[in-house]
Order: sequence, then C-alpha cells, then structure tokens
Amino acid sequence: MNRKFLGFLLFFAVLTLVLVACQTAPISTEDVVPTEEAASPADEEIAEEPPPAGELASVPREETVIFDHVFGRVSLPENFNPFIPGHYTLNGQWQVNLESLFYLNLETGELEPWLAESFEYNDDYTEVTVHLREGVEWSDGVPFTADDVVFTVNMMRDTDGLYWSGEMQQWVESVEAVDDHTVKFTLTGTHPRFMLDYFGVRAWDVLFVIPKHIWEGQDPSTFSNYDMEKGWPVGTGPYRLVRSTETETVWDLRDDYWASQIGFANLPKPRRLIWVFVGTEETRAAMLARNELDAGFLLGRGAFERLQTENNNIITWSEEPPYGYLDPCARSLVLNVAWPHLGDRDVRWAINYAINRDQIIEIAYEGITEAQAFGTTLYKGLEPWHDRNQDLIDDVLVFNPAKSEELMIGAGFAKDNDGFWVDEEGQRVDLPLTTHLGDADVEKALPIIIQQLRDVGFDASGGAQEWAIYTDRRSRGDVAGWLNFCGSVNDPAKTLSLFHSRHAAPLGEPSPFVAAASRYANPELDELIDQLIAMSPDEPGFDELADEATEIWINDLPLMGIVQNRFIIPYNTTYWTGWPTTDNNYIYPLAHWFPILHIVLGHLEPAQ
Amino acid sequence: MTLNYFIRRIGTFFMTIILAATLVFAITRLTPTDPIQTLLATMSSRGRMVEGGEKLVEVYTERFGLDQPLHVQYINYMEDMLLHGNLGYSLSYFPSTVSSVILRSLPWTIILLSISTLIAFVIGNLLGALSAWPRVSKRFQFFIYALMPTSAMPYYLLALILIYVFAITLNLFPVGGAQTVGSIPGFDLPTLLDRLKHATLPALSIILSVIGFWALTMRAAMIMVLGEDYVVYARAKGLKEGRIFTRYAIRNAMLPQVTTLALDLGRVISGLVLVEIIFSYPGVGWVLYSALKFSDYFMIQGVVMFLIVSVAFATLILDLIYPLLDPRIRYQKATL
Repeated sequence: MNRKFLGFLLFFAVLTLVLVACQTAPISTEDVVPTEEAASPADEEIAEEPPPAGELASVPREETVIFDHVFGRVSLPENFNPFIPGHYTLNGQWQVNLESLFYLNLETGELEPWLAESFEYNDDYTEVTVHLREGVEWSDGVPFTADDVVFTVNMMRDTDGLYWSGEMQQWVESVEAVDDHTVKFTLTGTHPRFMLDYFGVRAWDVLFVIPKHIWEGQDPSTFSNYDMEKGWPVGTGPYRLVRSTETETVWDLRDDYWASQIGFANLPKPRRLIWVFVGTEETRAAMLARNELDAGFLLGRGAFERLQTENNNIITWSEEPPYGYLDPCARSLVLNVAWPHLGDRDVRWAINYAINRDQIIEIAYEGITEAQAFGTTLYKGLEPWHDRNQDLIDDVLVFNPAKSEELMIGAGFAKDNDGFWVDEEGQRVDLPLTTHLGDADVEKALPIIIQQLRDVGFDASGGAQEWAIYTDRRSRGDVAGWLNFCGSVNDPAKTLSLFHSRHAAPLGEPSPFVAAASRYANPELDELIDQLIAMSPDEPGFDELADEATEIWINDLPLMGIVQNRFIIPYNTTYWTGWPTTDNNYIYPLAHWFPILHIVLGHLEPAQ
Repeated sequence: MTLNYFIRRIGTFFMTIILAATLVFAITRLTPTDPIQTLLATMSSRGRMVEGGEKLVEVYTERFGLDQPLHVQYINYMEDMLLHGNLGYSLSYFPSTVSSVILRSLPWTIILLSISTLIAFVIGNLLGALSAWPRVSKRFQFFIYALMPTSAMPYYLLALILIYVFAITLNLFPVGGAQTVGSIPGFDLPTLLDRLKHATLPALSIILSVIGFWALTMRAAMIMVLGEDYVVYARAKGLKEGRIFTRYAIRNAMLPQVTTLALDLGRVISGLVLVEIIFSYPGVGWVLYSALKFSDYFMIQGVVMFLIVSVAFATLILDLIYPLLDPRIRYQKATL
C-alpha cells in the first residue's frame, strides 16, 4: 500500500464530496419557468389544465409559500379524514382545503361569516337556524348546500368514536335542511354557544362540514378521503392537493375558488403552498435564515433576535418587544385540590403568594410577556370581565412571601429543621408539579416556580415530561399541579365550567375530563356555572352572575394564572409580504397552523 | 460449518425474537400511561372540549383490544406478529397500520444506516491498519488522533456542529430533510445526487462518531498480528509487503472487528434516532420518537421489534459467515 494509492483515494473522496456539495437541486421550483414569464393569476386567465394526478407542474419559488409543519412528519400522508381522533391534518387540509361556517376573530370577539352568512337562536337557545351563503361550491364543482351540513352532523351522531361524535350526540336532537341554504338544529338542551363551539373555530378547532356526495356510503372511521385521481380530498378551500408524502404536502391554487368567483374574497396570489417537515428549532432557524421557509413555528426571543441579524426580512407580529402575539392558552398553574394539604384554601393562596411572576417573566420569557391571573388571554371579548374584576386580579398577582408564611402558620403548619412546611403530624407539604415537553416556555418556567416554592418552604419538585406521561399523571391525579391551561377566549363561562364538580373525581380515579382535572368541587359555584352556560354573554344578568362566580372561584383559587403566552411566530418577507402584524391587523390569531390561514393567504403579495 | 451449528444458530435467532417480543410487550404495558387518555388529553389541550370523551375511550379501548385481559392481549399480539407478520394498528395514527408506517420510513433508515456504517467500518479499519503498519509513515497516525475527538462526541452534538459549519456558515449542504423542498423526484441522476447531498451530513455525523473507534481497535488488533509467526514467516519467504498486509495481517486482525460490528449495531441504531430528529430525516427513528411521546403501544412494539429483529438478523448473518472468514472455527468444529 503506497503513498500514491493513498493519495489517489483521498483525492477521489474529496472530489466526490465536492461534486455532491456543488450539485444543484433537480427540476424544482426555480429552474423550469423563468420568473419573468410566470403568469400571475391576477394578471391573466390561466388556460392550462392542471397536470395529471401524481405529477407536479413547475412553479417558481417566488410563487410558492413554504410552511413549517408544526407537528413534524405526516405519519398518514394518504389520509385526509379529519374525524379520526388525534389525526390533525395541519399539513394544509385544515388551513386551505376545508373551510368553516364562521371564524371567531379573537381580537374583536366577533364571529365572522364565511360559508354561512348568519344564524339565530330561538328564545331559550334550544334551536338554531343557520343561513348558508349562496354560491359556495366544492372543489369538484358540486354546490355546497344544507344537505352537506345535515349529512356531516348526522354522520357524527350515528358513528361512535369520531372526533365530534360525543358532542353531536350530546347536543343535537335533530338537524334538518329547511331548504338548500338553511339548516335548522334542534338541541337537546339550552346551548347559547353551540355555533361558536362547533362551527366558529372557537380556539383552533371546528367541526368541518364535508361533502355528502363523497362521504356517503363510506365508513367514516376508516375512510381515507384520499384519491389523487379523483381529486380527493374535496373541499371548498382555495387549494387542491397535488402531492402528499411524510415530509411534504403540496397544494396548488384553484382558479375556480368559489369566493373569488362570486367576489366575496380575493383569489390568493401564491400558486403553490408546501408544508415541510422541519424538525428542531435550530433547523427551523437555519431554514428561515436561508429563505427556505416562509413561515416557521415558535421561536424564543433570543433565537428570533439572532435570526433577524442573519436575515433582516424575518418579521413577527410586532416589530418591537414583546414581539409575539397572544396565544389562546395563557400559562397557569392548576392545582389538584384532592392532593394532600391542597384541599385547604389557605394553602393554595400561600402557594400563590410565593410565586414571583416578574422573575418568571424576566428569566423564562426574557421579559416579553406579562402576568395574568384568570388563566385566560386578554382578548377583547374578555376585557370587560377583566376590567370588572381588576381587584381580584390584583389580589392574585401579589408576590408576598411573608403573607404566604402567615397563611401557612394560621393553617396550622410549622417548618421542620430543613425549613419545609409540615402539618401537625409531621408530613411535609409535598408538591410534585409537572408540565409537558415541547413548549420551551413552560419547560423553562416550571423549574423557576418550583424553586420559588421551595424558597418559602414548600417541598416542590418535578419538571417537564413527555406528553403521554404528563397527561396520564394529570388524569390520574398523580401530581399536585401542572403548568398549562386552555380556557375561555371570548366569555368567562367556558373557563369557569372547567371547574364544575361534574369533572371532579376522587384521587386515584381517572378524571372524566382531563382538561378539568383539578378535582375541585363547590356546589355554590356549580349552580352559578349551570346558569351561565345556559345564558348568552350579552343577556342581561350574565355579567353579574359571571362576577359572582368569579369571586367564589378566585377565593378558592384552584387555578392561579401565571403569564400571558406570547408566541413569536416568524414570517419571512423575502418572497411574500402582507403577513398580519400590529400595523396590518386584519385577522387574529395569526398562527399559520390555524384554520384561518386561507384568509391570511388572500392578503399576501409577492415581494419580488 | 456443520448442519448442527446452522440449526442451533437459527434456533437461537428465533428464541431471541420471542424473548425480545415478550419483553417489549411487558415493558409497554408496565408503563402507567394510558394511550387513550393521552389521546383525549392531546385533543383537549388543543382547545377541544372533549366532554363526550367517555364514549370515545370506550370505543377505542375496545377497538384496540385494550379491554382484554393482559394474557389475552399477549397471545393475540404474539400470534399476529409471529404467524401473520401483523403488527396491528397504530394508536396515534389510526387507521394506518404499524407496518405501513414503518415500511414507508424504512428505506430512508436502511440506506442511511447501512451506507454510513459500511463507510465508517471500511475506512476506519483501513486507517487503523495502516497506522500500525511499519512501512507506513508515522505521520499517518495523525488521522487517528484527529478522529478521536469526533468519536468521543455524542451524535447530536456532532450533528449540530456539522449543520453549523457546513450548512449555515459554508452553505455547502442543506440544513435537513431528505430532498429539496418542492422537488420532483424521479429515477434519474439529479434526484440521486439531491438525495446524496441531503444524506451527506447525517451520514457524516454517524461516520465521524464511530470511525475513530474502528481505527483505534483495528490498530490494536494489527499490532497483535504483527508479532505473529505467520507474518514473520511470510516476510522471511520474501512475499511483497502489500500481499502480507492484505492476505495475512488485515485478514486476521479483522476477525474481532467483525464480531464488534454485530455488537455495535445496536448502539449505532440508537444514535440514528437522534440523527434523524436533528436532520429532519424521515426514517424509523422519528417514528419511534413520536410513538414514545404519545404512548402508542403498538407503534413502539413494532418499531422496537423491527430494530431487534434487524440487529439479531445481522448478528446471525455475521455469525454464519464467521466460519467462512476463519477456517479455524470450521476445523475445530469438525474435530469435536
């Protein structure tokens, strides 16, 4: 074996590496169609037919928007059935293929009509009549009618185990098509929020209406709703599916989108949308810096500011700190009141007084959020409730270790030799806390809370855990508390209803509703909640009842709000401008994984 | 190799599979998490008020056979897997089957793993052998010292360094993924080169993290072999250096390396999971990661069983060809 041979091997290896590194992408978004020849759909009529199923037309990068698929890989690339529990088709189906009857604008609190124009309840909210918009069509040209709505709802009622089966079985007595564009629901009881909860994208989820002519005769539990040859999935949205793999989902613009045909909305300018599997935050930041992504998932403040130095076309909701927009799920510490010692209201308040929210904001959130007390985000619909109960909010947001100590002593606790609170039998106030991995802010915030509690004498412990373990422990009551909570977005009734005693279960038994697993029970509050749920927020007397319930709830404090949840969602203006910002606030929320994305796309303009 | 030896090795292989399958079943069932409750909690944490959840739990518990006694679940599981090759439905990706999800991810993992391992094994052993050979310049040992730091690094750290240097700073390779976004793959050279380009950094992170180990162990083995009588004899006979190096030295020094390769496969696979996550590579590693997050029993069972079977099969193959590599083994068996 001589040097020449070795040298040859080395040369060959380096040459191969260089050749591979210098190789450009195969036929792709940039090569085939010169950008100056690319036709904008707004400029001229597109005469060409779409390519056969399975083949992709070439679309320039300048006419493409690339999204970060927030759930990573698509494990079911050939399944677009939105009713399978846990199967979130956030790779474009929710956003640009299916549309909702209404969309809740979180900032204004108003339900904005889309596939439907209006609805009205009867006097006691046991019936609701919905008026659908005329001129709406499915992507295969079949008109969207009341029959589709009736079919969808009845499919949920008739089939156990689908995503919305339980709710439709619980609340819908019957549903009928009065005419082609009028649907009448008869409910099993009073439900003034029926339209909001199921057809208004209340937070990010909604019962999508599906085409009867496609789904009829199929088993909804196993129907894949995918067939490229037939143009499935069929939806009313402005894009059609052209490719679906585990790592990429590609949608192309439909020039026959109903909303643009009848002049209701603009035809979006992007001709192609691609959802890609990105992976980690580091990869996301790198791809945004290299303009390989137009919209990313969440970034922390430091990562976002660093990214802007690499690529000054990266923007987010606000140009200045706090940068991020308010997410519906404000961060709160929910206590398991069945846990030893936590059944005492004074102990719960003592825990609250030990939490220094300013310190959490400074360390975990790098100063870009603010404290909150009610576990709710400060959206417009909730502002009156917050304003009326500001004194309660101020009480909760107090950081006072001395007061915490005073309450614990008054409750009969003393400190042991190690400085931890013990009861009369010498048992420590043990507080195992948990949160879930995946959201960096709660992963950082929880250890700070734990340390703060230990500093005043609570034997707190725990940390972020994998989702399965986190939810299981909450469900079984195997923790003293957890950090995270998703409550109301436009009126206080929903948040309060999560503390109804029907969700409570003894320690050791699974909570019947894991989102409400605090095991709190107060008959006085139950009565008020039952009344609130049966009232519309704009009814006389609602505010007074809500305030009365809030006072009881806050007095007992099974939940303590910590901070608002500001999401920094990076958008790239290298290829597209018009993303929603504080200066261009046409829709809220603005997260691209929410069903409102097709509204955002209607406002995008090419930057190049 | 005798027929008896062959039968015994095959029998050991199947026993390994059965034991591993039992262990995997037991471990997934011993975790306190309830996958159906996890599913509900996931839905409710994303804004859904799943108040009809009890019914959903009932339906899905029955659908996946989780309402059966544990021993019945075990029997069904073993029967489906061993007799029908059926790994069941995925809990989190229903109605996809575990097999279909794994099979879609498998090609990426197999290609990345096999090519990286092979390159690392061949180059590492070659470097190690050369560094021990007296006729080769001592400066060649520099390669060993240069590779040791990378071999000591965890896979994920190495992966991040490679991304920063070659993808972000030098912009020579993509940050992640298996192909260019929006590209139209086909059976052509541009597609092949695109895939190679995307696989380079993930492969490098695996290669660099193990190549130093192979080089060092091979060097030690070669040093042992250099002192053997047959090498001295070959030199005395006047054989060419190259022939002695390849036919006598490497061939004997390689034997323990082959054994180590089989044993090391498990470690490489575990590192591969991290590599796939960091590079957003669509292989089996990411599937396992998702399944663990959501307590998808059947997917965890399926992926882990697949990995165990692969390693066991590779070990079996290496075991069977070992007598072909070393005639002494064959000879010893014949004299018993």
